[in-house]
Amino acid sequence: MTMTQEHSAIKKLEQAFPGVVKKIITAFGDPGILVDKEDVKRVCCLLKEDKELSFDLLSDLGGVDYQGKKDKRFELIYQLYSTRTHQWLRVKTEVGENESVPTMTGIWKAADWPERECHEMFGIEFDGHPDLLRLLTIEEFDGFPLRKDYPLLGKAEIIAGHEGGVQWRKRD
Amino acid sequence: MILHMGPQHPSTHGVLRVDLELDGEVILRVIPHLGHLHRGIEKLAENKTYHQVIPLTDRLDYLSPMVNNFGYALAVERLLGIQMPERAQVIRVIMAELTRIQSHLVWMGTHVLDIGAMSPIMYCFREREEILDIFEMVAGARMNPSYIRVGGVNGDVMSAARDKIAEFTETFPKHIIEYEDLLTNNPIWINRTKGVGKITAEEAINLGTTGPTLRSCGFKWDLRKTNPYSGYENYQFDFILGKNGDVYDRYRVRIEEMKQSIDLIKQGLKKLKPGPIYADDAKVIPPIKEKVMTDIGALIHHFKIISEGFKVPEGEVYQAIETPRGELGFYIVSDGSSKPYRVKIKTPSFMNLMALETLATGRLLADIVAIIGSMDIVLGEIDK
Repeated sequence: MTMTQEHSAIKKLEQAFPGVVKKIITAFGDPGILVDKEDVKRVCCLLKEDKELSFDLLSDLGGVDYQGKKDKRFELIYQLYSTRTHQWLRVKTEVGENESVPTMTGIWKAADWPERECHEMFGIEFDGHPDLLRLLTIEEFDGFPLRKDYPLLGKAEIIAGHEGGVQWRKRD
Repeated sequence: MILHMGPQHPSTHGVLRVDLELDGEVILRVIPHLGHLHRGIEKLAENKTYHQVIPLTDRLDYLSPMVNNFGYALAVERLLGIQMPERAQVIRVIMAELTRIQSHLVWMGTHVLDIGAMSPIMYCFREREEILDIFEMVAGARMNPSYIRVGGVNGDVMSAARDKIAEFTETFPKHIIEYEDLLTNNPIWINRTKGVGKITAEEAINLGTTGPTLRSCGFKWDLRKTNPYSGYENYQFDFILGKNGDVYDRYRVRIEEMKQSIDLIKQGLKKLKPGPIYADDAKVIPPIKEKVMTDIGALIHHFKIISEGFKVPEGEVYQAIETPRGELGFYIVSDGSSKPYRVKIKTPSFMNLMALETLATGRLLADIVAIIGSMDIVLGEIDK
């Protein structure tokens, strides 16, 4: 991404909502911004709806667990892509344990499954998500596997019961 | 009525369970249930060195393993700041395009088989076999080659393999004509696919759909052209677009993509000049075998790189590439150690499958088989 375009997105944000961009993190040519979780929704809304920027594709949505490394435990990452200017923009926000973030499903329908995945893997709540069930693991699953304190081998293994139902055997 | 389709249903291409809410034969709601193939690849990647992650990426989209290696290697190389030599870039492009053809061949054979035509799969697998033979010559393995490594490719393309690729580019276009003879103007095929599973470009983008599924709506977006990587900007090729965004157009787009890939391979073979296949960075690339066997310094160096892994500077990167299914993205966070702190993989099938509900609602039960097939999903990369 060239500097001018990078600035145009961030400048527009600064004009519309002064002080909303907490930090500009440009890594390997990819621009990124850090915003408060209360602001994510209006920031994303503006980035998508603005005719010139038009970040209309949500490429990816995921979490990172920074346990013990940062004040707030989790970081949510929204990879936005503009099919008009062919640029990526990374929007980040920090989320503490037991905190919730507004859902983006109203802006991009594409946020549906990634948010569910994020919820089951990290235990982050998404306010207003229509159907925040576990996606890749079973409903009875205990814990949040992508958290750094979750053991690699898992906490327990499943023994499939003969008459339906699930039994667990704890690992030593 | 609620009907459970899968997870053992052959047309779900893996282990996908779909709950269908039906009114007679009309589909009212579609609820996919994922996770039967979940192996925790993202978690595993955090506990392996950067090099050990490559075999895991093979197993994401097991029908196009080379492309997955490619995306991962590019992401790590960007973190390391390594520049690829020309020959390695060209080999990677040739392998990626061969992978695209073989992936589309499997898609076509199975998709057409789902709808009821038996014979095309025999033709498709005949040609796929040739590509797998090429992979075996080049990488030593047919299915999970782990060929594209961080900093280069594992083993050069020798003249025998090069001749075989050149021969394949000559014979394969004739075979595409055979497939098209069987399908393109076949009235049964047209009845089953035209107007089925329609989607508009705006809806498709909103749902995060990428790849041939998006291009079949007539939307110009191909990462190889819009955000080129590995020297794609030096190749002559065009967007391949459909019009209506239905199952038939997705078939047309993929057929044309196979022709385009052949053209790209031909261009690549012309660019294939002698030269190194590994980047010049002793911190990442192990020394060559002869040196390891004769020089103690090289032996220690080799041992350190293999056992400990190379260190990657702190930072984060998102690298996306165009796979046969759409945008594959690797978001890698490095904390400066030899293991990635976090690997978030954006897989195209995962996003594409979200469009299933929009595509199938209101259609007949028989159409869902055609629709799932036309999206070309691979459960390995959906469940991760």
